[in-house]
Amino acid sequence: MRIFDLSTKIFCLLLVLAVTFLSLGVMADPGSAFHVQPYTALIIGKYLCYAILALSIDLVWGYLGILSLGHGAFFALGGYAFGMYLMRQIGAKSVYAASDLPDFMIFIGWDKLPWYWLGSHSFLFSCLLAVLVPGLLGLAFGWTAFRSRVSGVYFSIISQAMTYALMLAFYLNNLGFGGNNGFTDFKTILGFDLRSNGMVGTLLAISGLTLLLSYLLCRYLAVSRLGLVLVAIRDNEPRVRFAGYRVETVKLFVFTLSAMMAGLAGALYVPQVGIINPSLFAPVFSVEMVVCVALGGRGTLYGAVFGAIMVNFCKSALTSAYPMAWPFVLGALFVAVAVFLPQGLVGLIFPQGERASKSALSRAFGPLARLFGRPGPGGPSGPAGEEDADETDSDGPGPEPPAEAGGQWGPKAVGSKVF
Amino acid sequence: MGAQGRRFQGVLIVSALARKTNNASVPKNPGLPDNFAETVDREAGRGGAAPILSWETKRERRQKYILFLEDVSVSFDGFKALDNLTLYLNEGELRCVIGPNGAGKTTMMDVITGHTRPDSGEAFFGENLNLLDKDEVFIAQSGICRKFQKPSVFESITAAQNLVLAMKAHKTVFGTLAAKLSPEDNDYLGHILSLVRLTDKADKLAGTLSHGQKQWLEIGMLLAQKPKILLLDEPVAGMTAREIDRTTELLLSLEGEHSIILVEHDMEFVRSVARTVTVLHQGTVLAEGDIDFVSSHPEVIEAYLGGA
Repeated sequence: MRIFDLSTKIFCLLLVLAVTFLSLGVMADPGSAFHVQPYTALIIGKYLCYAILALSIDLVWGYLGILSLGHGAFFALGGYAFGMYLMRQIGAKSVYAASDLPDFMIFIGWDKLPWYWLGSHSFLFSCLLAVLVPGLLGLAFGWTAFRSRVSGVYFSIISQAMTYALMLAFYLNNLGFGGNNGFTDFKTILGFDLRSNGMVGTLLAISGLTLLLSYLLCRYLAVSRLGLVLVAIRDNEPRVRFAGYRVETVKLFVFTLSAMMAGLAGALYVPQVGIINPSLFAPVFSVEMVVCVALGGRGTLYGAVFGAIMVNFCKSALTSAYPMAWPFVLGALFVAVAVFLPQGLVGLIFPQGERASKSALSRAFGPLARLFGRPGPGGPSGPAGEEDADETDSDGPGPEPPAEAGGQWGPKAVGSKVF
Repeated sequence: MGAQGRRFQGVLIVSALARKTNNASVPKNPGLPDNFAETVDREAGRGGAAPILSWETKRERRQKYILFLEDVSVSFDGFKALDNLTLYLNEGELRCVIGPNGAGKTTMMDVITGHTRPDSGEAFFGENLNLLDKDEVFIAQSGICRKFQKPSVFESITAAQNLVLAMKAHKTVFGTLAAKLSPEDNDYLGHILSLVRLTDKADKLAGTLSHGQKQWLEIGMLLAQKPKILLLDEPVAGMTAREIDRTTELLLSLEGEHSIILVEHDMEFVRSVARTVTVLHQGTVLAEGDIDFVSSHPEVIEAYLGGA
């Protein structure tokens, strides 16, 4: 199968080895040489969740050309859905231990669970909810946006508004999701102690497995004929319509799938991090994840995973050493990648397409030249500028302006267009 | 009716009723000999042009032509891009549409492909498919395919993948997800690649092809869609003389198999491919007939040169 090309094989092998080693290491006897600190495993597990989120962003951004700055919302919703289950698990072990109610509901004087907490005691139902709720939001949001042919930068802006609105809503105490404290102080999952080494290792293994399966799913999409359609939509959306594809349906399908994947990542994130609050809905989180994908390299899948792990590793390391420096480092890294490495860091290792044959020098300066409006030496300029005026000629303006070329976000255009 | 009146001046009214025998239900006029229209055509030295026969009903005309546009008007903010345009296309015909800038050529294609909704008028594909209540995707799937003025191939996939993408198939999300290339599909795509002379470029990224090759690739993409009507917007723009010759060859080989509407500025090229030429001016048909007829038509000369 074409799904398993060289990069996929390497990726799967590395992931399986690393996760097996780490999760067995956590469960190993603390005295043995292979023992891994639970703290380390939890951090790595968190990175893997970010990687799944980055993968879901890469699917819609790298392939379909839709830059969503609100994917954090799907992640957070998945997290909240599973967090509800974890809250119910606390039960009588809570500080107030008065009833089955989570503490924060007692604070605000509620005496029974609101209807939308029904079923949250069930593990399976909560897992389902963690996928379905983000999926439904993605479906509704995508349907509205794509049907009215909102695309390009407008889509990015309203996706950001969507996550911001949700953040404001989740800050409300009366919404019944713990206000700005969110959910925390989790104790058990399926009755097992959440902080036991066995559970930490298991969660890490499940995160790794989910990442692996998500990766293979994305890969399956990418090598299918649908993958071609996605890239075509990114390059020139109106033309795809004339080829007989229902662009809106394709976009909606992929966007919803991506939202579900993000929700799943959120559900895995919460038990490992131990807290979820509305800050995950903040646009800055979503933007940071987009930056991870851009840094790693778009449209390759492994680039997104690499970017998410690397950026968050640097973030953990730097924020503890120099808390003030991190935003500057992130910004500088990002500018550097946008200008010099439009294919991201993995583009250095596995250059894609025609650029594979170009020298490193032209790779570095091509985007710079494009920044000033001239076609760079590194191959033809991005599809964006060329395709804009496709279907209008002097015969009179069409009823709609030429659609915001999906290609605007094509991989070659990073340096010049996106940022 | 002013527009039609103008049409009538330049155009021989009676035409190919009897030539097209594909529809038996069209009643023959008892007053005319069977080969009357053919005779007239031959004598006038032109084929299937502008045929309104007063005794035909609209329905009969729809049955007769593969593409039927009547009195189509489109205006953008008061500017009349199309003004009571009437145009019929016979099955298998290669029709050239020419006209100065702003004549409405591209708008006409927009209407046919469902991209623009006209303010008034009727447009039918075949007898029953009303183009005015279908969208671009439906129209494309039912067999009207369009090549844009600027070659718009998908640049970041290979030439062969462009054809696979365009190929007639079950184009739903899951149909596309599960789609596999059958050996017949492979042969067919290979045939198209050789037809558009891109066999050795099959695995090159479409973005790396030359301008002329992109134009050909896009024609190939249309052919892969197995269209009934091809709308070609300036297929030879920017081509070298040699490439134009090859394109001429290609289009002539398609004539008869597909119905083609060709919008072109290059008069040399038009002369070499066209049987019937329709001249658009200010959104309406100025003249219709063979190339010698239209190029000596005083109103056409006026429209092109007179700054009207």
